[in-house]
Amino acid sequence: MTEPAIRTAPRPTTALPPRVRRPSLLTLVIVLVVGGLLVHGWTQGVAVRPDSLLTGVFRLGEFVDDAVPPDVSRVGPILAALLVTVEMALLGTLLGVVLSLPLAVLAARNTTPHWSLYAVSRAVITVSRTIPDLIWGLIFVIAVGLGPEAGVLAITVDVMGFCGRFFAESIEDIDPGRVEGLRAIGAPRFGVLAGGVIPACLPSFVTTSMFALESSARSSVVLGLVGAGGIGIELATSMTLLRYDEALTIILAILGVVVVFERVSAAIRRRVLGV
Amino acid sequence: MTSPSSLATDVDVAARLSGSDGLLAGTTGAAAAIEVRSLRVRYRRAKADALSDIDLQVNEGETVALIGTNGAGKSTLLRCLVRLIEPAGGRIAISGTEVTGASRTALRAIRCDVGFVFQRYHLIPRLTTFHNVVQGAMGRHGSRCCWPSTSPGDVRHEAMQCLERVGLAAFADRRVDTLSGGQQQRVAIARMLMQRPRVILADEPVASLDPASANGVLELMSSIAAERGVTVIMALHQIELALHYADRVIGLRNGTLEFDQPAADCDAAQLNPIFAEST
Repeated sequence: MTEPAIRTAPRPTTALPPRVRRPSLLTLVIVLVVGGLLVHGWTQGVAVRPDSLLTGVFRLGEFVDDAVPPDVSRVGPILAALLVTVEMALLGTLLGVVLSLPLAVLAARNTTPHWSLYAVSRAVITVSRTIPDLIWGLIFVIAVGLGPEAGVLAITVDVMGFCGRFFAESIEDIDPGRVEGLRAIGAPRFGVLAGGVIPACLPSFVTTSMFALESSARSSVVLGLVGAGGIGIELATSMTLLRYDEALTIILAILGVVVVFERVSAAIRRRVLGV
Repeated sequence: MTSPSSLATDVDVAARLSGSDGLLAGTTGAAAAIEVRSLRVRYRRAKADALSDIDLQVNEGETVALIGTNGAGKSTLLRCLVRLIEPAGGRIAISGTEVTGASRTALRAIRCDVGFVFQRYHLIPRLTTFHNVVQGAMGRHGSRCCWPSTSPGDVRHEAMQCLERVGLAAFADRRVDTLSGGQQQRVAIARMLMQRPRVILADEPVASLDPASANGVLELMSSIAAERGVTVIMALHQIELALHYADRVIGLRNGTLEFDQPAADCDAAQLNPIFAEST
């Protein structure tokens, strides 16, 4: 006859870890601050009120009524402006990605040649990232005047901040063994970077760059609103003149371009990541 | 005792230590490939030395197995020999060239002559087998060998010969991370051959491999060592492999040398205490 199976585990002599841990003081403070802001916003009119929502839906209906069917009489100038927007996004992203590569190498703890360069490059990235692209657009319009040049510069700086940070983090996350393997060969510093670090980080670099490109496609539209060239100024003009049918043509064109950017970037990401 | 900082600071100007002037007192040093004296390593925030007072001489053409438990100091010693880990004290010379105190440029020149085989291969995973092997010439030819397309023609030919030597020429165009562990270790050996090393350091080269692959890799390293007359130091966990492939067995325990005998004179029972629980 077989022994009966043990149905209950023996009681351990060591105390079990608690099911729920007490939240830390920092967690409590964060919850209180966020909760306080939400309550304050709701009670002080930041929240969406049902009556204004209802009015808004009605006005939206009027807009749609005026906008449909879209007016395609100015499709030529609109497409020309759209081409400028696409080129702004492409050029700005390319410049931003190229500039963020050396910046990221300097801003990564495991590749920076000196702590002072690390501090300076991190500061450049932080400034580029924290100032929104629209503000960069305003600054560059003052610096180089109205037009796409200001837009390209604004996108470049914005991409530099975005890619610089993520590239640097990707470099810091690299398996140290890969670098050690090349250092052990006697490879020079540039060889280790170009032959080991960059290829190892390439999937992450490409993914980040593609996200930056998608973001730039959207930014380049908005930057036009502050005079930094492209389709944005056409849209602002149509809206100001209440030409909603023409505005709809522009919005549809923008939608098409942004979707194409996203599809192309997703395809490139899939190919690089091999998924 | 001379501090490392007072040693020659640049190999370009440092005297190559000739035989009778070897670092180790009392050694003739005529055929010394590696000389270590009073080597000490301590990791940051560690309470004890990872290596203490290591004195060692390995002669040219000799194959030495380093054995010991995890944490005994085998990997630390091997890495320290080419200053992938900086020693806290003591002196190291490879082929008569001072390693401790060498400038960055001089150190790179030393590393060119020393092939290093790692347990986890340390290859660049997304690159092809051929690309990884070509990179082995970076020590001699500089950064242009970080890509096969920019490498000189003779380097490309040599890389293919090295792949043929390790039996992986057919996999030249395959991404290296699609190969098996044993094959990747062979690629790492091919990359190491591109250095044309005079000394090979192998840090548990077969620890991640099945017994058949492990024997294959050690057989390959052994035949390469015999062909080229290079000196080999390899860290191993398996006593039987150490006794089979090495001329000499050195045991490390808690960062100190506990055992040093010709492989022919020792048996497994003698080596077992090395693997006794460390303090």
